[in-house]
Amino acid sequence: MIYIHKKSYYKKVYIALLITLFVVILFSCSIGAADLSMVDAFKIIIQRLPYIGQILVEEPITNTMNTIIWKIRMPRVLLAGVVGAALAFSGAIYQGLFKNPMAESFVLGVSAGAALGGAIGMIIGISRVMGIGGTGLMAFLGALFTTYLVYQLGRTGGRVSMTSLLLAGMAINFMLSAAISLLMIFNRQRMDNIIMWTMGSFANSTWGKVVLSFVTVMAGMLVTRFFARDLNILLMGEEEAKYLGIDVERTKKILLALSSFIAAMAVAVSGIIGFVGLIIPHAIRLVMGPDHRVLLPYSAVVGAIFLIIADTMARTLVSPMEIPVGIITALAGAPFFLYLLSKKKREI
Amino acid sequence: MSSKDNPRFSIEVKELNWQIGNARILKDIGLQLDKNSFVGIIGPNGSGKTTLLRNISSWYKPDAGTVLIHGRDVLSYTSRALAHEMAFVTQNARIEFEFTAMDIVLMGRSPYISRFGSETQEDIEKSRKIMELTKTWELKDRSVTTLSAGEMQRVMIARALVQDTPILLMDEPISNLDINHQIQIMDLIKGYQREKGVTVVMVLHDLNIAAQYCEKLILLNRGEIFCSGEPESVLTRDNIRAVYGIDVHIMGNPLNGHPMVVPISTLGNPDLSKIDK
Repeated sequence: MIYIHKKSYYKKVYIALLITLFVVILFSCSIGAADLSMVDAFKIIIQRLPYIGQILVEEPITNTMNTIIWKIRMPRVLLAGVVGAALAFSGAIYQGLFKNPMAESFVLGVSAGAALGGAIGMIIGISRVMGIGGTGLMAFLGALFTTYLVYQLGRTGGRVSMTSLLLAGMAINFMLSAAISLLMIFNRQRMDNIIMWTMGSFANSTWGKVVLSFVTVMAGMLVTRFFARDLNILLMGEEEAKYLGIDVERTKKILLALSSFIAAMAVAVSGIIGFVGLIIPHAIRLVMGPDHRVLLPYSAVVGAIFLIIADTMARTLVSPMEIPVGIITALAGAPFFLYLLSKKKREI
Repeated sequence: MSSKDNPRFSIEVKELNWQIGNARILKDIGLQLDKNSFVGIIGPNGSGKTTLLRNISSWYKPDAGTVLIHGRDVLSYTSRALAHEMAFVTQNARIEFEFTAMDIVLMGRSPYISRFGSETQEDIEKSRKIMELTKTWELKDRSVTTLSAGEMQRVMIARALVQDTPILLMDEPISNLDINHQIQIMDLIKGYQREKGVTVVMVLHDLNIAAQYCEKLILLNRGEIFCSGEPESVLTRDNIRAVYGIDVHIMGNPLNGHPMVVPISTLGNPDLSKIDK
């Protein structure tokens, strides 16, 4: 069976995943520290649904409950969803480009680059002038620079070797993370939270962040969709791709820019969250096959589901305290990374 | 556009030079390959066969000289336009991702599919025909990671054929295959070449296969063309001794009269009287 013959099957599964995502959003909004029953939470959310909301729920809702759901939980859950989608999607692009199932924005150091860019933006004041958009722009520049650096360092004799790519990414990750910590120590008053940047957090989620990241990430994903077949062909190797009519250098640059952009938009609103981009595309490739026309959109939705659940665990497991969400994803993802490494050991 | 100009040659190479650092890999190569021909490139290991093919395909850029494809500089083509003119079967292609054989063959249609489109019924039909021709249709749903070397080679050839190009470049398409598969694949390519009137340029190691299938042979030695022409004029005792450094006996293939090269072992003197002339 080829892609276009399985299209209706892919669509059905995709719709099922979207419904799952919606249900996960509902449940996550209704779970939390504040004493609020799940039924009430449902009612509050459903009431705001267009058309059917008013019909289904008639009773009045108290202001506090409304505030907890709509001002605190909902933006946080949605932001985790957008960031999860962005990280998984960009991870899938990186893996295709580098022909390497271990490539991902965190492993490659791109997330650290974006975080450093964002932190510099806050310190030099761009973020105060341009708001969260300024942080996003600086994060993008940081991500782009790091992607270029890792790519150049990981390249030996015209091909990207797995060992040098991972080593370069690791070294850059350490270096840039150290630089971020250093910046924070000297600029304590301007940074919200050191943990937020290095471990990732959705504690400071706002509707502004949700809108900015949703619009930018969505735009990046839509453009990437038109390069999905090119990504398939690039998996054959660059020489083969050229013979199949791909302008390899140009396509690679566009895709590296897109994946850096999408990852940077995630980091700008949530800090460095590792391994989402590693686990999700890999799992989907196992189940649905390597075709990027399937892999990319599926990664986005499953990434969203995964990170919403991870963040809900982060804020509820030891409530009222909060675990940085990056710890949860690392606990799930790092062993997975080691598993991939042991499987691929022969090639390194 | 290329048919309008109607240039005489399918591929023309003029004073081509290519080097890595100070090592000159190709020296002043000149070639004129007719349309509708079957050309073999032969020569010892490291003589520059694959490098020449990659210069023709523009994967490598010449340091000096030009390659003309249908009368036009190969470097002036976009990748997509060039993929309409030539297909390339590379050596030992390996794919680690679990695409099916049909997925891979369909990729050969990609130069004809717009960025915003996807495969049409016509693309699928074309692929089916070629896959039947190359005996890969029964492999269509198999993951390419599970194919044997021979099966994989046939899939890669099918992918090149669905590209529907007037030029086919092939880098040792039959090395690593047993003689059964070697002959199957050579027959297949030769049949296709005759039927479609395309130009096939193939790097070959096996001199006897080269003699049997190619209309023209190009013998490379240390990056230079030692000689070229019909198999009978290229595969001579003196040429082979000069280029490969071994003694051979040349005889006529009893089935078809093509030259046959029999290498002579350096262990002891062979009794040449045993060979009837």
